[in-house]
Amino acid sequence: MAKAQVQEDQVCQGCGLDCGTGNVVAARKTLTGVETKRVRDAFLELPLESKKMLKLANVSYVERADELLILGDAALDTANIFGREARRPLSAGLISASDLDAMEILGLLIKNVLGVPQVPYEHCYFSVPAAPVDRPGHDVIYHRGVLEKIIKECGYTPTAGNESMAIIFSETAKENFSGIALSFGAGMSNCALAMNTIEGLSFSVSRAGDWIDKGAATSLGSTASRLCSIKERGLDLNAPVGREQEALVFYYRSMVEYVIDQIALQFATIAGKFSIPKPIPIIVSGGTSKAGGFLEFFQGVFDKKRKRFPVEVSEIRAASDPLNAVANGLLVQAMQEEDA
Amino acid sequence: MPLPVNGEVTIICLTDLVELPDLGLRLTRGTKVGVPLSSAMKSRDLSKAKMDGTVSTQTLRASAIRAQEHVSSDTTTSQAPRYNPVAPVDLTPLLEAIRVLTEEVRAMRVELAARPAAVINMDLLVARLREVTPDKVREAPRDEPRVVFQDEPMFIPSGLTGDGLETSLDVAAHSSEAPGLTDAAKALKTVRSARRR
Repeated sequence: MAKAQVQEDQVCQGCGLDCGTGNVVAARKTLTGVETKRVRDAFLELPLESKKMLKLANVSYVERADELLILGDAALDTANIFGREARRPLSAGLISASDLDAMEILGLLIKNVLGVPQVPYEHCYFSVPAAPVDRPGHDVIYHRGVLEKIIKECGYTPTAGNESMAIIFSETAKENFSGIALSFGAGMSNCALAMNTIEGLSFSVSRAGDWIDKGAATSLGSTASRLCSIKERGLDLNAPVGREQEALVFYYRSMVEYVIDQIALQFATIAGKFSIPKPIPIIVSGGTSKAGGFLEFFQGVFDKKRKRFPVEVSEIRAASDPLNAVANGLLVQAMQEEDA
Repeated sequence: MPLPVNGEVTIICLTDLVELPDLGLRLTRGTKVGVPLSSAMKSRDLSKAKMDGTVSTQTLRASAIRAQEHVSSDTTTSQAPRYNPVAPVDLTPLLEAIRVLTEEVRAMRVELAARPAAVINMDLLVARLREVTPDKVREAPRDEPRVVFQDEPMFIPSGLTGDGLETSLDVAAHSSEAPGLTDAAKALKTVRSARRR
């Protein structure tokens, strides 16, 4: 009994939840390290007649009223088989208030990824993007409200955390939590600038992975899903092969340039009010940054703009775990609650 | 017998306040003012006010003819609704109807307050629904209370985690030692503690 008691005390409570357009990721501390659970943020609706086929193929599904729902990674695989596109609960990083189906799907995905709380009302820090600067009229208030409700219904105590600030907390401990964190996701790219844990600036832009796919597809007369699969199959941003890869690189460059320019533009609004006494690193993260050679590519684009960049940069580096950096950073914050 | 032509236009104000600067007029609701026909025809403010529906005019050429023609030099006709404030409106039937409705609502409220709160017989409801759509009725577990948070806005839907729906997703789980994370948590705690002191 004494050993069990010690084990229970050693289990760290608190978890982080990154709810993105592409993936939903939960991170939780275990006795031996950190466990992350990830599921693709996607779903597919099929008629009831497909039940037999899904059972034969051993595909998990949810039966609801007069349709079947396939959730997560299986949705993408099955969509390909049927020649369809899987739907995504989030659009450009945010929940759509008019899409009740999407909210319910998101609730199911989060419930499966989070699991049962270790203790009643366990703390859960969840990611919220910053308000987009290039989509006036779009805010994150409703998005945050829906996620809070879902997490509460799962039995947790939710606390919202900025997506890019989470990367600051997980990746810049040696710089005393100072730096510029960039999260290149599917629906949005998020940015935060912090000095000694204090957030000086945070914003998001709508140029991200989906924007690259759509732009490249339009320029080639192809489809976004085709370009996405080319991108994910293997792409070296510094040595593209063929028209399609060249188009992708073209849009990647445009996205990176745009983000760097926006940092300079947004920084101008706080210049003089927020002091940065020493050079700080830039951390790049997110699924879209997993393209081959992204770090060198980013460095190359940044070097051309470095002279006019308002902040002195010590280095540019990739997050140690680009897909899970946000969830890990939120976990770091949740752990503070449990230790308090 | 020829109709009298006295060359005057009566301007009737239909809104709270109308100003006609080129006629030197400032009219309040219901006010009637006579102006010479020639002045009225030249007035652009009057023409605009007629098109906006804020005034109506009566030209006293003949008592049998209602004034509808424009009085400005342009040929547009007023689209304003015809409202004649002079004709009296008998509100008695309307007031009586409102009184009757108010009494009915008052009586209904008293009756509802006297009735006990409705209790839904779940077993009966489920049985009836199964008769109609046998394959589509699945009863959610009753022993799990639905949590309602009083301080939450009701425009955000509830039950988004699929109560009653059994789901088991293939979730990609990955474990790692992640010593950096533990160090980061300790460092953050140190920084925040130092700030509090």
